[in-house]
Amino acid sequence: MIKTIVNRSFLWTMPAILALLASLVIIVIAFEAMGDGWSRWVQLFNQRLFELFSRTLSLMALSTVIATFWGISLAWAVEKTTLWGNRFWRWGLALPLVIPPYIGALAFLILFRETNLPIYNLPVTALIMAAFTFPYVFLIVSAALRRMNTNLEEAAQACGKSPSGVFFQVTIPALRPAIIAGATLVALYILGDFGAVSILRYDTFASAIFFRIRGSLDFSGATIISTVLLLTTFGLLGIQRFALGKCHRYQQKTEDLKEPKKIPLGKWHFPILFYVVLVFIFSTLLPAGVLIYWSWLGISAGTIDTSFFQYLFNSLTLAGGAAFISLIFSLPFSYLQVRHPGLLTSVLSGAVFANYSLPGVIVGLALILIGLNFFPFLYNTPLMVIIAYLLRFFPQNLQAARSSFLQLSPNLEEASQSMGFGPLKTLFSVILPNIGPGLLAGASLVFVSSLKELPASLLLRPAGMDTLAIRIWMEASEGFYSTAAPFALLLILISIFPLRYLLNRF
Amino acid sequence: MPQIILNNVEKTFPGNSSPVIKRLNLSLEKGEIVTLLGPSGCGKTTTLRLIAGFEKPDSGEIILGEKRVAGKNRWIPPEKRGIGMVFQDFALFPHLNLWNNVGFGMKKTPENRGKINETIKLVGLEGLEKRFPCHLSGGQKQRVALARALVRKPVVLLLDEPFSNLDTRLRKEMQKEVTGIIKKAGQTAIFVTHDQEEALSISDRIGILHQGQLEQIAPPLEIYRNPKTLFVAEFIGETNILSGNSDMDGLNVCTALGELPCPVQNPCTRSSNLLVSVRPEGLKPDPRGRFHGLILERTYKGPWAKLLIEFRGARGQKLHLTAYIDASNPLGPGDRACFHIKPGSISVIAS
Repeated sequence: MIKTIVNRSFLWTMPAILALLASLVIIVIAFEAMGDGWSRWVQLFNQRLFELFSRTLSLMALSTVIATFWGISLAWAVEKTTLWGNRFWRWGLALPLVIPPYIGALAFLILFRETNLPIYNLPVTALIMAAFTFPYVFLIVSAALRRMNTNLEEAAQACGKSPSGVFFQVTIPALRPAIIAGATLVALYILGDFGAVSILRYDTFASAIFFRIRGSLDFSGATIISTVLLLTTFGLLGIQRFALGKCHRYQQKTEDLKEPKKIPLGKWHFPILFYVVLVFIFSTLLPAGVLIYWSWLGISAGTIDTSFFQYLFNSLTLAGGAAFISLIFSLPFSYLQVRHPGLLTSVLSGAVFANYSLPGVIVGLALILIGLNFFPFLYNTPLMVIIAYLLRFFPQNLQAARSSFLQLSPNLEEASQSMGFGPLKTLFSVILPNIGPGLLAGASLVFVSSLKELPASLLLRPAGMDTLAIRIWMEASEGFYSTAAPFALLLILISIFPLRYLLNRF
Repeated sequence: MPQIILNNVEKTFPGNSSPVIKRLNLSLEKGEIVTLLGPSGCGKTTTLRLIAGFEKPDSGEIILGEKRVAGKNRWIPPEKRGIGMVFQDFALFPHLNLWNNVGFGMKKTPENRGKINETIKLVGLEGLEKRFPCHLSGGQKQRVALARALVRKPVVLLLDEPFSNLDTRLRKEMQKEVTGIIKKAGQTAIFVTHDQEEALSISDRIGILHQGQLEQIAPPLEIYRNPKTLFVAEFIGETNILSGNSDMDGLNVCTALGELPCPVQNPCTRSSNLLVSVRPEGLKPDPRGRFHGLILERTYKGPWAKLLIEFRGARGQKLHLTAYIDASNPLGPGDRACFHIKPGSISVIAS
């Protein structure tokens, strides 16, 4: 059956379309960037490119260092010590993930404005960015700590190492792959973020690209900066590969019955608990509290009117459309990945995954160029926004679909065939009932990510088709906080649903 | 003077009602290899971890090389005990190469460098110093783990099921090699295993643990020939258990099967409640044998065959015993034959 299905070319069509679009993104950007020759590059370098580069990198570096430090220390405290309230912190410290950084930035903007504290500077921006990205490191490192072979630590102790020697010479090196993975996620996020940095008025590549397109319609300038941003992104991924080294498939725990021993904190218990609570307040309670208070102010002042429902409807339509198409595309794509691995399949999935780490502004810019040059009839339609969501978030769906396909034995399909079921009947009576939940979970991730998406929506939406995310950003930029707050709160509440699924993955 | 002493050591894990280790007494001479053997959950690994210092005893004391490391008002953490430990999964540090794994935690003085190189040579891994654990085979990993444990010349080498992660053929090979290296280094070592064949082939003495208690500790042959308790008799190899009484002069035991001679090395105490263990290889088909039996089952086992035989007891009751016979012997189900019991295969267990 595998052969008969794979030979049907229609199975390849959908993945091929998606991969083609995905690879067009980079090609179009690079092509356009070369369009005006070197003089434009030199001019931009002389202007601000270098300054932008250093501003972007310093924010990225500082945020990543803070987020990584928080992530490792909190994971260690929660997983390895007798810290009070362990079980609560395990998911409590993952909560900031449901707050999109631009909404978090909005909350801090409100808070700092009220208190007249300086906010538009590198350290504060980096702290705010770290507050909403450290859970990536926290979750990945916690999972690694739970899976870690405790024999390694005991072996080090048997070799005469003191507890702190064990921590720095064995635990941290053993966690290295997890730390690198988490830190890369944070760094990639900071590099691509547009919403939070623009609200905090900190210029990075992403915001510079956006304002060049929106402000001055300077496409060649935007694509040149985009190219530099792309190269930085690839450089980062290259560094990650290098840092992981060859032997990053570290040995996992064997069927080990003994529960890893928890370190008693003693006199350090209170200071460490204080630190954990402080991070929790800063990253979750404070922004949530500010948003709830200002939502209440806003709602009682009557800012919620019919236009609110229009924005909600726009958001749901666009995100729902993206999730639906993604659901349909993920079935043949994951099927090919699992049942027909090969060069073609890995090229197709490579092209699709390459976009996953690309900043939203670049995807938006590329789609504008593709739309203007190749599909003028699609330009300025909701479909462009949906395509942008697909390009950005389809890999989430693909991963979920793939892992549920991996759990489905090919024997089941063959058994179905041996009982006289044709390919279609097998699909509906055997494959879909088994991998359906995985597909749906993946599509719901796409849905929620799309709801929160900001830069591509801003660049591609048809005139007047504002989403909740766009309204939050616009009201925040213009200082109408009590209008932005209820929208932000609603987005956060919607984002809580897939958190459970996300937590189970780590 | 023994190298290692455990005195009345007791340990109960929090949340458990009964202790995992009950009043355990154990002592090892220098250079001795002792294996702790028992079914899973018998406390053998806990004993090893108590000696290493990864667990704290509730009472009793532990002395390693004349140093009291655990006891009343005394606790020395594992890193200060000078032990060497080999883990079931080897626990090699994945981020360090072979040389640095072996030399982990040592100051890299010229003297120590010499020791590290020497130990790597001892386990036969010279030339592979720069390799990382992910590029080593199972047997090589095992040797690195052993070298790492040996390099500090520990008071005692502790090995927790060191061979269970290797495939059967490699396991046999490594058992011989590892014990050879330990003997050559003159190390005192404690192995933990659940594999009785392994225990019989590598140890100077075997300690059988059952429900947290040391049932018997003796050289392998002694354990097999003269099990002290019913558990030991049934755990090591296969055996037939009969109950009986000793006769007046204490030289024979009366069992349901008839009178059996007591083994010389273990004179029977006069008692009315005894258990007798008869090893299956001691039941030999012999036309002049005293015991008449009916063969019920025959199972081929390669060079030998296992028989299930029904005997009639003194009061006419049925007794089922197993016997190992030469595979060339054609006895099969339905046949009747006479059997003789070799005195050396009989041992008496006080019940």
